[in-house]
Amino acid sequence: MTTTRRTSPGFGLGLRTEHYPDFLGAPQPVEWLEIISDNYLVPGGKPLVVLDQIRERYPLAMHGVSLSIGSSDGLDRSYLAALKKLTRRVDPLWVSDHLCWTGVQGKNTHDLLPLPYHEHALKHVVKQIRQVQDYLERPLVIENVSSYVNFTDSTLSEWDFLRAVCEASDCLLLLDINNIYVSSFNHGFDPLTYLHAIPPERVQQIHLAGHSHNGDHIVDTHDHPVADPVWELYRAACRHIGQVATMIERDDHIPPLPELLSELDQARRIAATACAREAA
Amino acid sequence: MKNDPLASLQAGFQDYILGTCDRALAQVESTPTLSAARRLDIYHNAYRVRLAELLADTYERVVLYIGDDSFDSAARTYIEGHPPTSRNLRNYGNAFPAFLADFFPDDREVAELAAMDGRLRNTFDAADAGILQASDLATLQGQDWDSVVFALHPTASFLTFRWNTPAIWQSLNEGIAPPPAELLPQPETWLFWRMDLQPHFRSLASEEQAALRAISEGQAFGTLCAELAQRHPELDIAMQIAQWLRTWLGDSVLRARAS
Repeated sequence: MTTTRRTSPGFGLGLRTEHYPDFLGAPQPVEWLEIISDNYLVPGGKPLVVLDQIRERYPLAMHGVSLSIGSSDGLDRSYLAALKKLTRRVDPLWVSDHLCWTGVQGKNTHDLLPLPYHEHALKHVVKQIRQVQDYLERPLVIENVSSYVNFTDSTLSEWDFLRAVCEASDCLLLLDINNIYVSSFNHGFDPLTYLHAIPPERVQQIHLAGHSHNGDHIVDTHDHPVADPVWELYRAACRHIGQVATMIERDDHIPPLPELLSELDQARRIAATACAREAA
Repeated sequence: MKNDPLASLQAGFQDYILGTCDRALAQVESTPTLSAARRLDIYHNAYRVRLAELLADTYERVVLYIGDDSFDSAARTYIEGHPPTSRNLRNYGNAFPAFLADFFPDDREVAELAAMDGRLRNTFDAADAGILQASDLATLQGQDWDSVVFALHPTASFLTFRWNTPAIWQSLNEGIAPPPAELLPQPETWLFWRMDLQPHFRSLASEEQAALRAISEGQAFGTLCAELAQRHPELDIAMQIAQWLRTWLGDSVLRARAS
């Protein structure tokens, strides 16, 4: 059976502690929020109390950074158990993490490190995604990462690898438009080639974020507003994919909530225009 | 691993990030504008920046006390010797206070300040548990009090200071100049706990400390009172214990008893 994406809940934001009072104090114009799952894998206290309060008010998607689905060390069962416990508490829209690895040999860099794109890595990742999906009893939503290196032994493009992972493991996709743009600059490919290789029916969610341009490379810093070329790529993504859950990530230099809501309105306008044009 | 190209590549890449080996240079393509080394260095540097920011966030008052440059130097040295081994970064800095004691051997209050910052952070999200209420004690009959065993709430813990660290911490926290570091005449033990979702701390006189430690070790209430009476014949133990109990119950320091 092929997994199909859930109907889009609309537009959301990444929940950050700076905005707890805004979301708890009054209804905000977002249809859903995304939490960083790892921030709530704590023994107890305020984080989990606030999480429950936010969950009463908004649907939540769970987004992780430490699954390390591509690690040759294999899966971490205790991490998976903690994640599953959190899914029972949150009853999330969906659970996502990144197509990457974070460490091997018992160490962890806490970075989203790229994989080599070849058949061996593909088989390994597909096997581990299937194991996670079986354990969590739900489809996994996998996000493309920004990268600053590519490997000499890669035999596939990133987009062919991503599509193959998705089809072979029957997982869904969290397409990060900024990450496609960042990697396209760093590796010198056409971001539209990447975008158009993505099976639209597999895309559960879109991430938008800002980056830092360092002249000869771009870093995915999430500390700026979404850049113009990323908005343009988002417009193309809306035409390619149709109505899809979209949210903005900001992890540093976090502005007051109204500023992010205004940025989210821009996403709403672009999606409305692009999807209407595609439907016409 | 020799037959696993993925494991081999990942080990080499991680070694480059950790700074132990540069064989990953042969595994990464260069671009017309960036060499393989510069591309790998993006990860090498980001790793250190990320962990240094994490430590600066956890040990906020240490940063204020010793300054950004000094803290960064200590944090970078710690990071080189302490690659994270867990998927959860909550405990990454647990060895940092002990490291600082060696790094600043002439300023031991720095390590104590870090221990205090770390303890407050751990108290903030320590495990939840029911809190013992005054009403829970209403059913205890006279003879029950001898055998009843209380327990500390899992957020409650002790920290002993040899320096005037809590006073330094409080000044830094209020944004005022800290007092000079001074060795205390006697080490002081402070109680840390969580109440209304926020960490709290206060100093403990030696008698109250002994009583709370006895509770934390599972001593029966009757034994605890008898030992206190023996050690401190000058005290009105019944009145003293009643006063402490009121405080502990009001502060959410004791754990609810299993029903």
